[in-house]
Amino acid sequence: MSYAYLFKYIIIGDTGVGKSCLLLQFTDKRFQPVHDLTIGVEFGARMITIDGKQIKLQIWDTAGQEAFRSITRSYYRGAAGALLVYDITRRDTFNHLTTWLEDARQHSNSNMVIMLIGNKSDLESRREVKKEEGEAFAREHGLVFMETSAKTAANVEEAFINTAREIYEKIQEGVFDINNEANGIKLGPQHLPSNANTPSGGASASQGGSCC
Amino acid sequence: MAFFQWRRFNFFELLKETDNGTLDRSFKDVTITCSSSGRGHLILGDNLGLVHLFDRQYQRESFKAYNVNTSHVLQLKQSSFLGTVGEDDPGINPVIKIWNLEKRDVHGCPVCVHLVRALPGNRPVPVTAFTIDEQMHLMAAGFADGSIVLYRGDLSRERHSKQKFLQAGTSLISGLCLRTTQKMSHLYVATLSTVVMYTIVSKDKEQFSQLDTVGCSPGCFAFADSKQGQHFMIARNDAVYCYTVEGRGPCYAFEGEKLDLHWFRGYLIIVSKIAGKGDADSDKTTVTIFDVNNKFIAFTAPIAKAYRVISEWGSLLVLTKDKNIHQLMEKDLHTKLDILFKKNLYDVAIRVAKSQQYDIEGLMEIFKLYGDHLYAKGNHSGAMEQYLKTIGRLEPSYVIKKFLDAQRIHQLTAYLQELHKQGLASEDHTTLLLNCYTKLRDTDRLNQFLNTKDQRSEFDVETAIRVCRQAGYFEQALRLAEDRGKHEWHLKILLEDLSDYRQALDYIQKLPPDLAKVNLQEYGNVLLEELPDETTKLLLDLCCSKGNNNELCDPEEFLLLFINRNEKLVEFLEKVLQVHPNSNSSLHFALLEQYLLMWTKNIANPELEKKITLLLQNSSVLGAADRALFLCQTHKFRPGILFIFEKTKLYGELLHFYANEHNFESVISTCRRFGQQEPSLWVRALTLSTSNDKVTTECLAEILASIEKHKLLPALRVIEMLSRSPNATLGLARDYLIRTLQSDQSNISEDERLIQQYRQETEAVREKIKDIKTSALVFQGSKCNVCNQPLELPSVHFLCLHSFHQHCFDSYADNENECPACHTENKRILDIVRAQEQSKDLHEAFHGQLEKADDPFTVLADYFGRGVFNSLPSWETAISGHQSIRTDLSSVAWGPQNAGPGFEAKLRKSEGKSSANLTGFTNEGRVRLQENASIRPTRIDVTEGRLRNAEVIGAVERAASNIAAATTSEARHRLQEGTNAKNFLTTPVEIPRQTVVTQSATSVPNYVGAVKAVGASGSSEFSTSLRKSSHLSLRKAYGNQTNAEPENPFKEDTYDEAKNPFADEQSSNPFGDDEDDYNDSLNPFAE
Repeated sequence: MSYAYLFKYIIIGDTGVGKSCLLLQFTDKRFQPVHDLTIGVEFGARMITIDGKQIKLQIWDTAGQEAFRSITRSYYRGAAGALLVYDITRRDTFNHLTTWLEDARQHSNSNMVIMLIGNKSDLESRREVKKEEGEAFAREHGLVFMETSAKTAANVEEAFINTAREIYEKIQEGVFDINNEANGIKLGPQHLPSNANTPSGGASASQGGSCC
Repeated sequence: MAFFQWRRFNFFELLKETDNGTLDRSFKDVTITCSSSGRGHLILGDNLGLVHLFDRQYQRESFKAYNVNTSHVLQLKQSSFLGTVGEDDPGINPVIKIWNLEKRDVHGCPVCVHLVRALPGNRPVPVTAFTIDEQMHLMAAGFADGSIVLYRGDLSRERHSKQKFLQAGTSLISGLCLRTTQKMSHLYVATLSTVVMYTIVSKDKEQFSQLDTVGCSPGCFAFADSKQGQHFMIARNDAVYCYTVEGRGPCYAFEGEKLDLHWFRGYLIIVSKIAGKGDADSDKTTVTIFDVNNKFIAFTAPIAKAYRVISEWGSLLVLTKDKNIHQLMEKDLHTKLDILFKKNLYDVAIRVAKSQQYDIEGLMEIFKLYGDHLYAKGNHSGAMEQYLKTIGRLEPSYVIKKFLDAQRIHQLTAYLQELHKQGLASEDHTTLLLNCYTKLRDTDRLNQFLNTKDQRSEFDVETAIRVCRQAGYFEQALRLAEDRGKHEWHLKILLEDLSDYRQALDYIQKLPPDLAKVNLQEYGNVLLEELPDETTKLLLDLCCSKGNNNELCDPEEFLLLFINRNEKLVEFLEKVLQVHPNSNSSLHFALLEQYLLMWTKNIANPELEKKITLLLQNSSVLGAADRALFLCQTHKFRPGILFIFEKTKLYGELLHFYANEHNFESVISTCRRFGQQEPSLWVRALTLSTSNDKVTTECLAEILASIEKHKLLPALRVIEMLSRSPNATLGLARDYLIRTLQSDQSNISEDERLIQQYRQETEAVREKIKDIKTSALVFQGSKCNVCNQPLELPSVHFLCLHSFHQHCFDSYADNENECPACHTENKRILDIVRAQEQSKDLHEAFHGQLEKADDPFTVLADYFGRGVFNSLPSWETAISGHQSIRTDLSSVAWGPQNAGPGFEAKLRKSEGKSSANLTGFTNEGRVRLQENASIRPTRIDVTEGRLRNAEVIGAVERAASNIAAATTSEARHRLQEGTNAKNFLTTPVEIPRQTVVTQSATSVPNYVGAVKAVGASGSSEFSTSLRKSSHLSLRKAYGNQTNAEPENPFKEDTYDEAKNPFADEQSSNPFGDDEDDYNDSLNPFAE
């Protein structure tokens, strides 16, 4: 599948706020009520279209646990966008946002687009963090804000696509240096000088198992 | 351990030291420097330059690859080539050799097909990593100084390959991996400090891309080829990192110093040092197997001194530093699933089963188990989610029952919905689903379900309608009924549930007539109740509309609907009859009845009376006048009764009617009107008037006058009747009597005159006979009495003075001795004489019966009743010869006069019975014959028997005809008496049977004789001969008769043929009738 751009995303936030579920909903359009803890970093990809351009989103879904912080930190660097997720039913996850934001700002490139996501909007009855608070936090830190529900898929698509659109706009504005892959943005294969064909990620089945 | 979050299972079985020390023995003094595997062999290189191949039984095969040292071995998986790196000379002087293991030289050693020096530039640097592309076109060697040499060319042959020098960094190359897709190859390079990738797109172009800025230690890399994609993996102390061609991929956190990384069938195997006890203790290692896709640890166990994992022979081989090999065998899927089930980890089980391509039945079973488990835990919705996946395999009732019992309607609904979606739902499921909807009051989904036109989710419409109705969703039911054309349901709902009669009526109107008819018959009652006018109109339309091509409905079928709605019925019938005046009479009668009912309520309604009269005049009403009469009588509708009486010519009834009303003027006028057609009316009028005291003398006078005029009654009878009348006077009857007596007187004198005349005539005849006998006769006839020509010789002359030509006589005469001219007259007279003779037999029978009878008087009276002793056959017939109608009447009328009241009735009854019995009997006889025949064993017997039966009957018939009318009527008379007669008639039936079955040979001639006798002799001989052959009860029947002296007590009587009461009954003689059918040629006894 050819694409014009490849954006790398990272999803961060406290453990249990629904990062993996957001990713699963976005890539597979399904919801898994019981989800194993993310150990390290998981990975997903999906094609979207912005302005008629095919854009591949490569998303790193990081473990929220403190123990893996050192591993996940290394992934900030190559990301063009970040979804900073908290759980609207748990105030502490909202309270930790500042730490996450600092972490992200510190380890990522400065142009990284960060979107603040208040997840689990379907659990209105157990809400602890008001939508206004989230909006206020986002305004204060210059983030885009959205409340989503990975369970009902509400706003999930929009969260990813809006982020992508923002990145795309920044590219158009020339903020991103698209030739520097450290920004988390890569030109599609048709923009490559040499070969028009896809460096396919698909398996070549004939190629056996192990390599020693 | 940092992997504590992932679940841990034991899906591998550890078999320790499977080599039984072979390795230890083989490498007692040498060091194993490198290892590889593939194509059924475990390949090890040692520090002496030898390469050892072990097969599954650990049979070793070694060859000398290098003179000094072998540092790397690599077995290609898809071909038999083996790549090695080693030194032939001491010092750093690495040489790459490619061996073809299938080609052997004279010493049995593999042939080295390619040899190349591995030197980056001209510097002597040790090789730290080595890889060959499976296609054998690319090969790369990494060096300790961070440089890489890429070889291009056909490596399977002894040809020079193109070398390309690449510098990935400055740190030691710890891993190399070449992967080729269709168009390009990727060379993944891991150094101690970085991970980079070269994309080799064309012959001499490589594109460099840095994947990471962190590296790994030597050997800690693997290439994962899974459904999730191709990943180049490196292991660092904190985690395992994956890289794709596009950059960094996922990472799996796993702490500890890694010794080796291996990929095997979707499992990631890590050999790591156990941390915490100090790095110095490197003996304590652990082997951990991850299922990366399903996110659990498939195996983990500490294996001392492990440093390398190789996969071969379908299992994993763990090499240890103390030269042991441990084998890790993967357990089969069932065992794994069992383990998971025991831990209730069904979701994991499902994932595992799916990733191992478990069959669908197995998966269903897991879903079911999972569902059961969740259900047991009370997670009904979760359970349902699982059950939903089992649709199509698992019996739905299993699930339904569970949720039905638990009253989990939401889940149940979901399940049933899915069932319908997949087209697997039965009628009961539909019912249940609809019930669920209605119970949940989920109108939207109910509507949605009902409106689905999807072929797959077809359901039983009637069930749906029924359920909807029960639940009060009439609208839905209605719509459903309309959509699917269930008219009956539609109407039922409209009428019974919604009480929307008008709409129902409209609906019926729209239906085709035949359907409308059926439905109207069912619901018309209700509709008429609620909307009488409209319904009537609709019914009328159905029955009368002319524009309709279809067959019109029969209005009769709707009559029942109008019960208790008389006005409408009248309206309906009137209109129907207007349109179809010739319809069935029942309609007319229905209308008549209604009219009469109305009339009873409202008697003084001339208009209604007119209507009724008009209706009565209808031909179809008159066709069943008795019914109409009954109706009129029930309702006491006088004009109607009179009208019908008149129309049906029941004038007698009319008279009675008037008489009952004491309206004798009307009686008289009726008699006047109809007396011409039916004179007996006057007699009737007389009877009526004599029994009534309100009759005026004028009336009586008129009646008497009419009776006299028409000679309706004998005078004696008139007197008798008049005597009963309370107000009849002698004066009234005097004139009448005088006149009657006078006429009688004149009759008597006339008779006497006739007697005188006859006497004279007889005398004259006697004289003539005497003359003929005694004196000569002169034949003076000059003309032939046939041709009227003058007589010529030869001629024939008769004493009757008729003369004929001989030829004329010959052509005319039947008999030589008879005159053809007198023949007919003679024959008539002879017949009369013969009849007189035969009447003797009647007397014989009469005598026999008289002697035998218990009550001789009854017999006598019986004969009287038939007029045997009567010289006058019927009143005045002999003299005046009135119309037959009059004769009948008079005989009926004066019968009682002679024999007393009641006798006539009895007589008639017995007569009727006797004739009925007789015909019935012959039938019975035939039936019996057939019964007998069917019992017969053979066909020949049957026909023979039947034939003989027929013959005997024929014989009997003939005999009977000989005996003549008297005997047959006597027999008939006996029939009515009962037993004897039966014997008589059944005997002939039974005779042949006996003869055929038992004594055919002897009895046949006997029989012939009998019949001959019958033919020759009279009745007495017949009966005796019958007795001879049958020995049956004929004796009883005829004994007396035959023994009795055949004397005639009425010898003196002058017999008059016309007076014979049986003469006209001849025609009803059953034997007489049969005579025509009798075929003489079939009779074997015929002479």
